[in-house]
Amino acid sequence: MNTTWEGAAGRPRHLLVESQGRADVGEFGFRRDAVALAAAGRGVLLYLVQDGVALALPGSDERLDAFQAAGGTLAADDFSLAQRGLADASLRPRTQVAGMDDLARWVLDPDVQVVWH
Amino acid sequence: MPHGTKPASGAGADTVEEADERRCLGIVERAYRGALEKQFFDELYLSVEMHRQLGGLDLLLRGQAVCYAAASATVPELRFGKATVTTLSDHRRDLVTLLENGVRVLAEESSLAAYLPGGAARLTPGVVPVADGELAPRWPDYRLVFFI
Amino acid sequence: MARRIPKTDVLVTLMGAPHASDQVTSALRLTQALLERGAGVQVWTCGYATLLTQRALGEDKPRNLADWNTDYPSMARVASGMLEAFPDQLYWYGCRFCSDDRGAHDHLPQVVLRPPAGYAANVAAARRVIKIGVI
Repeated sequence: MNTTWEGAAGRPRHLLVESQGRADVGEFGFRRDAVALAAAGRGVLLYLVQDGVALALPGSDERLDAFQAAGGTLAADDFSLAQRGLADASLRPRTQVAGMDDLARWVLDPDVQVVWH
Repeated sequence: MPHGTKPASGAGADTVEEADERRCLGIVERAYRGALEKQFFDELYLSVEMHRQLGGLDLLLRGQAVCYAAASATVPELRFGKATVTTLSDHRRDLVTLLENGVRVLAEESSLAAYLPGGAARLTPGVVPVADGELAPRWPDYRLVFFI
Repeated sequence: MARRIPKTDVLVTLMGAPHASDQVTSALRLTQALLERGAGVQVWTCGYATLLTQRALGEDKPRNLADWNTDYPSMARVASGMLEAFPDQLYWYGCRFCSDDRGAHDHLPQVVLRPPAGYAANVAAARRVIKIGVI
């Protein structure tokens, strides 16, 4: 216990309660997996949706740089982009703006394995 | 605006409790929490109530919540079954409502740089950029600080 | 006798809590797109997603006091609308344990509550399984 903090009774202090931990692997592990798959020569399409569309912005994440460099394909959800005022933003090179009809088509392809993070 | 005073402990019937007239600070960190299931009753709608009931609100946007302030944000209609849902959450419109009601809306600069490239020109008029951490030293000036 | 699960192209397993992100919005957008392509789809809800189909939600969300006359559909209405629009393509299941554990009951008539141990049968009845969210 920080006795200095308690010892300062009578003076304004702050008690901050933090319930959110930073889980490093939980944050970027999936993107790391995408890089590994692409680097292994597997055809990989990374579909960015909801908060994930922010990764379509240039310079957003070095793992996506690596993903594209390894031959991975990037798509960003049109609805999520529009929600965030990013429909006309400059995205990473070769990023395809797609919608759920595209995603549905890809999901129905029998050769495609789908993993949703 | 004068700071309110707290009543003394064990105050008797003659003590006049002064109302705390300080504003509150709400912080939005997690954004886009249910366009379909929330529709109108999202954290911005709640913020209008907080502003009205608690004597004034400053609202800080952080992380992807800064995109709520994007002047070009739109909400496409979505079809489910044979029905078109036209009432999905519209955060840009709700932010304008907040501003019109006197809520001060602020957005952290690093989040703007990360999620809304293009600078102040992309912001809904009235939203004020603030430096990261600029508000924390002023927390004692607020009646209440909370995440919303 | 075990329930027969109609075969579908896709099983969408929706596990995340509503109102925490746009996950439900995304899952139902995908479901709609699959249905419009003629695919057969099962939706299986777990956790707090089971609450989406409660009849207690009624047809409409509670009134918006700031916009009294606008119609805001409840999630139950959205789900029933999809089920009515695609009667031979869309099948909706809910995890009985999760539903009971959260006090959800009296679901839409088209919703079939299944025991957690029955999930494998739903998986077997789908060509493709997508799990969205965590419990």
